[in-house]
Amino acid sequence: MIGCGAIARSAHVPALAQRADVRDRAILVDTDVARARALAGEFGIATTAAGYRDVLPLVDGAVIALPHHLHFPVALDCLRAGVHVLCEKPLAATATEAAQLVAASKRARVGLAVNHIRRLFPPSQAVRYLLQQGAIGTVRFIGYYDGSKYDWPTASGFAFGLRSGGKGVLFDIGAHVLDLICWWLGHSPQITDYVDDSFGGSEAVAKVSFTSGDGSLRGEVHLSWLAKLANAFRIEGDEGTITGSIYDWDSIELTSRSGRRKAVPLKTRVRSLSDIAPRIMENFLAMIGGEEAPLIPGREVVPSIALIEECYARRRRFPLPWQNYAG
Amino acid sequence: MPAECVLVTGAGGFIGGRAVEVLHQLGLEVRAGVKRWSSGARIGRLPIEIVQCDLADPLQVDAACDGVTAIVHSAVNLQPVADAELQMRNLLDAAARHSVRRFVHLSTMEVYGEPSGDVDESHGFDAAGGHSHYARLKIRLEQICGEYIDRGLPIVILRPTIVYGPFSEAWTVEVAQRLLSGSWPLPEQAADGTCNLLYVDDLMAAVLLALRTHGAVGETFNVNGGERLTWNEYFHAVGSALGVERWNRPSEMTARAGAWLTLPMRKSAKFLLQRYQRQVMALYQRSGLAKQIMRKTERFLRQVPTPAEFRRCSRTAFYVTNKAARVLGYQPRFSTARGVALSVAWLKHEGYA
Repeated sequence: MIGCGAIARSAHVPALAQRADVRDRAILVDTDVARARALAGEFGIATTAAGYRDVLPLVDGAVIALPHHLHFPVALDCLRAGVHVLCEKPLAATATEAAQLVAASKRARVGLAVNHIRRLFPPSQAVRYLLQQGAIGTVRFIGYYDGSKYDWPTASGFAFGLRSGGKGVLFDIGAHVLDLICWWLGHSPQITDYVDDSFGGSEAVAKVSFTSGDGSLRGEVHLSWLAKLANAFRIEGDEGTITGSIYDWDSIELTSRSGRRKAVPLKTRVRSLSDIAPRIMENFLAMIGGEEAPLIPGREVVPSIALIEECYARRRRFPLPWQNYAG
Repeated sequence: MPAECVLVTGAGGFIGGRAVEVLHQLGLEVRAGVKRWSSGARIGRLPIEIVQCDLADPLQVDAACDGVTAIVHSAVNLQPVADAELQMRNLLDAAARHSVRRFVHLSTMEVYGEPSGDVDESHGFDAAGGHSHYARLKIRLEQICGEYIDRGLPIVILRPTIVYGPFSEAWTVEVAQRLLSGSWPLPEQAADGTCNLLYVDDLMAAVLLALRTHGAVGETFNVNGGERLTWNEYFHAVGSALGVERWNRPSEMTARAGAWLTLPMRKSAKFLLQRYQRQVMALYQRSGLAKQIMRKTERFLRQVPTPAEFRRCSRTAFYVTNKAARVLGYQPRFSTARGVALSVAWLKHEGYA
């Protein structure tokens, strides 16, 4: 386990500790050794280390949960050392880097999985199923609106200001959302516009507009770390519309072209993120054992990383008249 | 280290966040101090240094003060007075150790309690009574500042009034959300008190003057907007800018009864969330019924005024700024119309309206 911050503590390590055979052999790595030791103590794990390079010869797999900009270099080191990788999203900052990781995993004959956990959210799965079944015909519009005040208990503050490398909510939440859209559609759309509120630091509000190559589909993504948005999605097709909540997992709504609305119950025992984390970890362990393919393989996320790259290349700022101090 | 480097405490909050933005825009080196990293989303939009500065941790505080020439202290927590005292001393001691050239302490008009009429800085803390816990806490912090002023620390104390504008939860977001819901919890006659509305950039002007004015050291200043308008006038101004011209208002008796009868409910909800937040959230996620009940309760409580709201909105005090004008050269520049227009533009941008 490389990186013992918030996601390690809330998801990966609890999931890992559920398997006694793995827990007894696990190593928690963090440059803040006190943090690694505290987490190890909490979950009955014996071994900690300050640097990951020294432990690579000792392990079969590495879960990478570091600040975003470290995902690529650390994953590359792990793969080159012949270690299977489960990496937090975003896998890399550019499509070239992501492709490099995919190539490295092939060369080393080890697996590369990415924790795009939203693909396992029950509404996401239901949408994918309905689209594959042709429930709303050809998709014409996708809207995804995700916003709430940032309250992730980040241990290092890497996501903000100078330390963010100028990448914020798009790189963080947008990585999930654009991956989800590519996964739902089965192909990658084209970015037509991108606006955010960065003043040289990490953007907190971002709007992405996209279209399909032939212009038959358009879409918008609105992300915010500052305020609550609808936290919902809307997908319109020739034959109907799917709407749903991102975080309420009771049902989604299917509306036919004639306007008849039907709730589609999400018959699932998955009620929260803590129900998904063990599934991700089980898959990773099975991948190491050669029993399962990764749930979300590295190669599948390369297109969404290319979209993020494209957004930042097109970056322009919202008009924000209240920001200018006129004193 | 450049000539001027300003540490802003509470930089993750409404006022501290704006202070960081303004100081950065004016070309000063800013160090933004946050208690929790997670509050850094707004200020993180700037290419600035953000440091963890939990006032309860003397080592963090000392590191945050290292190399700064001035401090704008806007951090506040509704904590026991003894804890707040200790934290204030941590910061002031560090400021003294690092020989900061100016320390601007943001206090509040609440220190005056429940006065009426024109109130200037000579008005005693105890003259009116009716102090909230927050007011008592802020009085104590001002008293501690007084001790350090006597020891030579160049402190200026500002007492802002009702600060509104973009990113204000209490006086912008909540007001708008209530208006947009179509009903207002306070009856018309209960909101005819003086509003003392201060647009956040007028407060920033006062902060800048407090940082720069030689004769300000050791002094305390009221900071208010320039208009004597009532709460009703403010609500109507926001409603009008939002396109909400009419809304339902309860009778005075219903509203007052609701305020008192829901007090135990508010206290219980606050206690549960403070003590058992994880368990409450787990219940929310796993039980559809619990989720429904919690949402309905939240919506209901949002529409019922608190007794404190009744008192605030009927208070007729106006906090005069003659001293700030004379010593600092402070003049409020934002009319209510301009401030509300900017606030509503921001609300729309964020998706609130």
